Amino acid sequence: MRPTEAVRLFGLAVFGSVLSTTLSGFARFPLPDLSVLVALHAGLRHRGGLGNLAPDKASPLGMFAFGAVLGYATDLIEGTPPGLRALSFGFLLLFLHRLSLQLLVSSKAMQSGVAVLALLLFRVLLFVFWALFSGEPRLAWGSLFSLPLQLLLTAAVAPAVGSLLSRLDGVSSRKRHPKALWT
Amino acid sequence: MSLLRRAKGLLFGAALLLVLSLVLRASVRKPDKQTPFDRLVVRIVAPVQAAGSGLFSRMSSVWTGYVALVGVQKENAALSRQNAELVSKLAGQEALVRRVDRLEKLLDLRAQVLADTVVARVIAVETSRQFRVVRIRIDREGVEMRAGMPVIAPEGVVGKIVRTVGPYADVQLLSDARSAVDVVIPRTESRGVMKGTGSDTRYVCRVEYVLKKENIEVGAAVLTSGLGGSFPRDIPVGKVVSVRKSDASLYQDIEVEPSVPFAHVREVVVVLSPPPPPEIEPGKPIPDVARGFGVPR
Repeated sequence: MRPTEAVRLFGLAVFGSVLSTTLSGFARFPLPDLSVLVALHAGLRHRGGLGNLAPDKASPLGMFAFGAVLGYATDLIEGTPPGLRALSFGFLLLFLHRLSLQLLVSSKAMQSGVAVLALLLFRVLLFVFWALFSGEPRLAWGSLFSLPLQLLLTAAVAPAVGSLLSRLDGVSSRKRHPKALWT
Repeated sequence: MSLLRRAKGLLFGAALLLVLSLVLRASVRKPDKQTPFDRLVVRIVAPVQAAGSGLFSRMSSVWTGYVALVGVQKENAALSRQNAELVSKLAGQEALVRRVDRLEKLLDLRAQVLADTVVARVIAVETSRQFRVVRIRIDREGVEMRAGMPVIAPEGVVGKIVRTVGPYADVQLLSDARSAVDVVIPRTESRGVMKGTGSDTRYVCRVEYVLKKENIEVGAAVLTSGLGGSFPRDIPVGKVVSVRKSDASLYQDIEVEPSVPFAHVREVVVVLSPPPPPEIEPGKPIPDVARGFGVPR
C-alpha cells in the first residue's frame, strides 16, 4: 500500500470514527461503525482494476499493520481499551485481504452482504479478544444484543459509503478505473 | 531471497502481534495508564468531538423545530413564513430553556455536594456498545481530573473516570460490564456489590452477594454504601426491578435500573475531592456530613 493511500484511508477512518462517536450521543440505537466501512473499503479495493493497491502491492502483513494502526487510533477515539480494536482491525483486514482475492464484490447486494460479514467478524473479534484478555467472557455477551440492528443499518449504508469512497479514490488518482471491486 | 523476505515478514508480523497483545494486556490491567502518544491523540481528537457534539446538538434542536413545523402546516395551511421562522426560533429557545433547566439542576446538585466539584459536558459515546464509556469535557481551567473520581448527575451516580487527558476524561458508566460499586438497600440494610451487565439494549445492573434470606422487594431504592473509597455514601444509584431466587445459589439475583437516564445525560458533575471514610459506630447516629452528597470541601 502506498503511504499516501494509507494516510488518506487512515484519515477517512478517523473521521468516520469521530463522526460515529459524536452522533452516538444523540441516537437511541447503535449507529453503523463508519471506521469498519472504511477498513472494508481498504481491504477490498486491492484487486486488479484499481491499480494502486493491487494484491502484490498490498501484502497481508502491510494490511495487518495498517489495520493495527487504524484500530489503535479508533481505540483512543472511542475510549475502548487501547489494543483491543487494534488487534481486531488487524485480523479483520487480513481476512478482507484474503477475501478480496477470492471474491468479486460487484453488486450493491453483495456490498451489503460483505459489509454485514465484516462487521459481524469485527464484533466477534472484539468479543473474543476482550474475553481472552480480560478473563471474564460472560461480561462481553451483553454487548451483542443490539448487533442485529447495527448489522441491518450497516448493510443499508454500506453501498452508499462504498460508492463515496470509490469516488474519492477516483478523484485522488485522477483517472477512471474500468472495473472496480468496490464501486 | 524470497524465502528470506517471507521469513522477515513472518517475524515482523509476529512481533507486531506480540506488541499489540502486550499493549492490550497492559490496558486491561491498568486502564488509567496512558502513553504520551495516547494523550496527544486524545488532545487532538477530543476538541473535534466536542465541537461536533455542540454542532449536532444545535442541529437536533432545529430538526425538532422543523418536524413540529411540518405537523403544524398540515393542520393549518394558512401558516405563514413568518410563523415558520418564529416556530423555528421558539424551538431554539425551548432547547435553550431545557439546557438552562439542566444546568440549574446541576447547580442545585453542586450546592448539595459540599465537596469540590466541576460540571462537565458529554461530548462522545463509544459506538460498539461493548463498553459503556462516554467522553466528557470540563470547561473550567486549572482543574485536574484523575482516574477513579466519581461522576454524578442530579438523579444519582453516573459512573467513574477511567482515564483523563487534560480537560477530557473517559467515564465508565454504571452499566459497563467492568463497573462495580458497593451499594446498600436501605429498606433491609442489605449490602451488596452492584455490577454492570454490559447490555447494549438497555441500561441495567445487577446487585450481587445479597443473601437469599434478605427480603428485597421490587421498587426498593439502592444507594451507595460509601465503602470502597470511590463514592460518598447514600447517593441514589437506582431501584430494584426484579428479584430472583434459585435453589442453586446462596445469593439472590437482583436486577437494578439505574436512576440516571444515561441516554439523555448531557451534563454531569465530577466530584474532585475524595469522599471521607464512613464512620460507622454501633449505637451512634451517622453524622450528616458523611451522608449523601455531604462531602466536606
